[in-house]
Amino acid sequence: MQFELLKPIADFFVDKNLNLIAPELILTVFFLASVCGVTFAKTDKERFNVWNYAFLGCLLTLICLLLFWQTDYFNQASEESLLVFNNMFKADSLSVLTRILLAGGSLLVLLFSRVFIERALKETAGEFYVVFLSALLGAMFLSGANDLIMMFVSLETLSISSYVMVGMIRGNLASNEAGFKYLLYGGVSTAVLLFGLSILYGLTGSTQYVGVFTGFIENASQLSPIVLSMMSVMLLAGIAFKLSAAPFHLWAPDAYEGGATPVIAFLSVVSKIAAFVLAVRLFSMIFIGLQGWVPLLSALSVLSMVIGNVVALTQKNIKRLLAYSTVAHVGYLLLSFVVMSETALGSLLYYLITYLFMNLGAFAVVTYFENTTGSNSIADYAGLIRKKPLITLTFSVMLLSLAGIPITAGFFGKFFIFQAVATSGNQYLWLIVIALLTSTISLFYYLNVIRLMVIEAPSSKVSALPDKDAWLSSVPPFATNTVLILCFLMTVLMGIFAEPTLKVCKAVINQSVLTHTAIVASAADGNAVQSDIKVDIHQKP
Amino acid sequence: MDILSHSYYSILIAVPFVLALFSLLVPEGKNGKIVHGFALFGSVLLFLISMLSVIGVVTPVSETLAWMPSLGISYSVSADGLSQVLVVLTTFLTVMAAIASITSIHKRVKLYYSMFFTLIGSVIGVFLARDLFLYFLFWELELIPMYFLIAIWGGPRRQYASIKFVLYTLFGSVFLVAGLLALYFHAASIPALDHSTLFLYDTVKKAVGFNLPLASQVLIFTALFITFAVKLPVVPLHTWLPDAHVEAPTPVSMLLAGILLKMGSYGMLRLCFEFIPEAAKVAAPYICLLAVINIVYTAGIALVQKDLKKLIAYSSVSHMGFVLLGLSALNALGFNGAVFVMFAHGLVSAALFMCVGTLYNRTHTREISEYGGFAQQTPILFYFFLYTAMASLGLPLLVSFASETLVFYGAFTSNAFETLTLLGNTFPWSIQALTVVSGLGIVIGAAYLLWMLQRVFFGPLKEKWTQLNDASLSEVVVLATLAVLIMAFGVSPKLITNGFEPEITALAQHSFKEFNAPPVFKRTGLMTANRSDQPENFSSNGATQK
Repeated sequence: MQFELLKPIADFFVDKNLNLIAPELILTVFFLASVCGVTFAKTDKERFNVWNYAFLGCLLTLICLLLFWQTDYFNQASEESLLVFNNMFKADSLSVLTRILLAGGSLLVLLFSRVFIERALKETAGEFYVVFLSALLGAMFLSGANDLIMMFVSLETLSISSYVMVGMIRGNLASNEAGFKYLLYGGVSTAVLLFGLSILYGLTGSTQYVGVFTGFIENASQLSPIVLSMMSVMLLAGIAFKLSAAPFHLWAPDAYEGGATPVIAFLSVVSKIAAFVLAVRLFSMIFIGLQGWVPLLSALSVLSMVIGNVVALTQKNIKRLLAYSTVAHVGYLLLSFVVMSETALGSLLYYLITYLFMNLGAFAVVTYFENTTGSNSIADYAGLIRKKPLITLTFSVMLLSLAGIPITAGFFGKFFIFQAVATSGNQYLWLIVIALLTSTISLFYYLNVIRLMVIEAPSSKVSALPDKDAWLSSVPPFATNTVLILCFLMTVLMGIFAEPTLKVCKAVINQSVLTHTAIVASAADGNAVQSDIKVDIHQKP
Repeated sequence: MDILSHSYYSILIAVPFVLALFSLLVPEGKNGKIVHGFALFGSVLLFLISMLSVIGVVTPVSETLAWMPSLGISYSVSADGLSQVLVVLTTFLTVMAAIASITSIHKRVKLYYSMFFTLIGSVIGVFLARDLFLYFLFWELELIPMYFLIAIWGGPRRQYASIKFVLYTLFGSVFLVAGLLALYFHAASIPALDHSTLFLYDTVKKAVGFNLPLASQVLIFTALFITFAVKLPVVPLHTWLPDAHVEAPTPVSMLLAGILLKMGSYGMLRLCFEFIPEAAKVAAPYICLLAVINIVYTAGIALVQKDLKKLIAYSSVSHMGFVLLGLSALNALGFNGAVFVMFAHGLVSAALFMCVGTLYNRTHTREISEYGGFAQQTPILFYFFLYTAMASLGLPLLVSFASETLVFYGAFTSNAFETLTLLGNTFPWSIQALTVVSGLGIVIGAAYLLWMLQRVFFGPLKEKWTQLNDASLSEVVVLATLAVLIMAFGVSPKLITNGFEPEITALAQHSFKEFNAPPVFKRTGLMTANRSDQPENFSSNGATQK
């Protein structure tokens, strides 16, 4: 009887392909639940318990996504059966993989941030989780966006939630300043991006990725190069802001320094991954035939690598250091767009996965340290090994991985990208040289932190930590502990077993992006440009 | 036994890392006694394991596993005679250094041993790797523990010395990466090769012989040579070593001189000379020149040192020059001599640094002018110091004499330069002349060592040193063991040369055929042509002839 009633609903869902966005629907339910939770909460304790909704929401979303991954429905499914909302959202393997990363990353952030958020935000901690979930929701929709409007709306959901989260610490000037700065920069860049998108629509007459792509092919001869380059520059500036690629990175250090540390962890990992997947889709599904991007992207990449790594050398605050290190990593990642081959994009995905674990691990330690000592100064990390050997070990491994020391996952992330770029032609060798040189520079500031922690005498803050009487006393609270162990294991294991992961990443890229582009290109009406593009695509190794 | 022989090399690499982990976990005990005991036990165990294959209890099998086939990376470990000799030297010096640590390491003992064993593990990995990528991993891994060993347990200028060490080695690593990538991309461009094992030594060797232009070969050779020249070290890239030695604690100095420098010479012989022989033929005259500069120049610097440990450090650099000289001879004698010098230098320099450390533990100064008249106060130490100094300056019947004679003989009889030209002319220097010049190094060596002994052990005794104790039991154990071995291998070099001689000779004859033909001795006329009747005989016995 009950099933009879539910059947039309189930049919409706399947009919509209809504089962493909089941994770988002689950998350929305929990989002609404947390809104109710905050609204009806009377005491601080009840507000703090909104964390449970957020945690459960992320967990169920993750499980749902992992089930998707298990069934590999995207292997058999046709292109159309993966589309939702009139082709606005595409639940292909790329979006499933990305959403797993997003939900998993958010789950980790929630795990290690609870104590910190309650201490820092006090009575607004409940609202924080609401905004957190809406940001995650935006990021998840962004990762599957198949339409310029969908892309823009979800990007804004993510961005506005991020502005709020960064400026959320009430009465804290640094946080409010950071939030406001982020909002101003973000607002301008959004306007620029939107302008670029509207030009794109004007040029091609469609907002769908497929439509834009075929529009380019069909109208190739009539497109004015000036308008085209204006559109490119604007789009790129907008995306570069979201990626915090130099020279659009200026908001990042301030936002990182002022924002609550878990928020920054979320921004530097989850929202970066979403933005990169957006870029993957734009560059490989729309602009793959246009060569004009290469110099622009190379410039962004080189600037990010150089500025990120060089400026990081002088930082005294660990969060600012990680901000500049993020800029530098964005530089390495952008290299893969310069080449745009299957290997390069697969390596990009691999790098994003490793980056998730190593950066979140690092931020978990920073959060823990700030929570126990109240300091973010690098100098205060001195002598940490005397009190917290295991934390120091984990942090060191994360930093070594970020620096790209062999056998860690970070090394292979860089290695794969550099290799993909190096093998695709001699004209890119100078990029590799710069990348190698700047990653050598990066060794100095990462290793400096390790040096401080291991060699130097304990700082006053570290001395004030409780004495280590037994080996296990260095273990932090359970939740943080889980995150640290997971990140540590993944960073090491993904280094040793880099190959299988890379294979999966390549398959995902091939299946959901490159094949799609090739089909659309060959389906489009035949003219001169089309054959050029076809050759272009088939040349990719 | 079957499992042991099938995973023997992996066990050999893994044991130090396991020991490193466990030394963090065992309780420290009073004054770190339990950790010291554990580390000593562990290092003896490691030494015994490494001896199993030497005495023939196990016959190890090479291991090769696919690791990242799409990149051509595999896990491959094996050992030939050269690797085996160096591994045994490593594990032996590990025991010596572990004993020396008991008297010289007092703070943060657990962390010390975990770094110590990580260092040993990565060095053994370097010697056993048969895949360039694996080699590179271990090569880089060695850097981290060594940095901490100097930076935490070092002397007053430890920060400076450790950073300098890291910077120099990283500078070298950049060239290593460049060289490896060049080899890799060349190999990847050859369809005939198996692309899932591109980094294997065998594949790389094949690839180099396959259409690689001589100019590229020379470039790659030079890049790799610079890497190893930093490690060896070769003048002008040597300045990190005296600083590192002076600041490092005694056991770390022993390992640094005894083993880490051998990573440089091993890499040179394996990667440069074995993989890229054609470039080696072009580069030999310059390497020979560098070798002579190394030997004579650093010996000269040692002469004027005021710091005892720095003096020994420079003498160590000077003796490593003989390895270069032997390599540049490009013949079986020279190569065998070079490997033998590596081994001999490992024993002698470790003993010398042990002597210096023993002295330093008592006086807490290294200024030679502060010493004087110690022969009466510390007679046992004096005997050992005298003995090792004699070994170092090449007293017959001791191991340095045997090895360096071999190098001299190899270099003097070499005809490596004769077919080469410089700008259309014959070379302005001949290896025979340079060999004679490098003999100066021995003379200067005798001068600075004897002068040093005179200033430290004779003359008036200062008032403050009247309460000095003589060498303690653990120090005597280390020194006596080293002394016995220095004598044993000096009297009967075959004990050690038999381990590597067949393979090294085969390498020389295979890759450098034209220099290993029966020698004619045009310039010197020491021997006449009747030697040419038995060419094989000459070469295969070459290593042990003196």
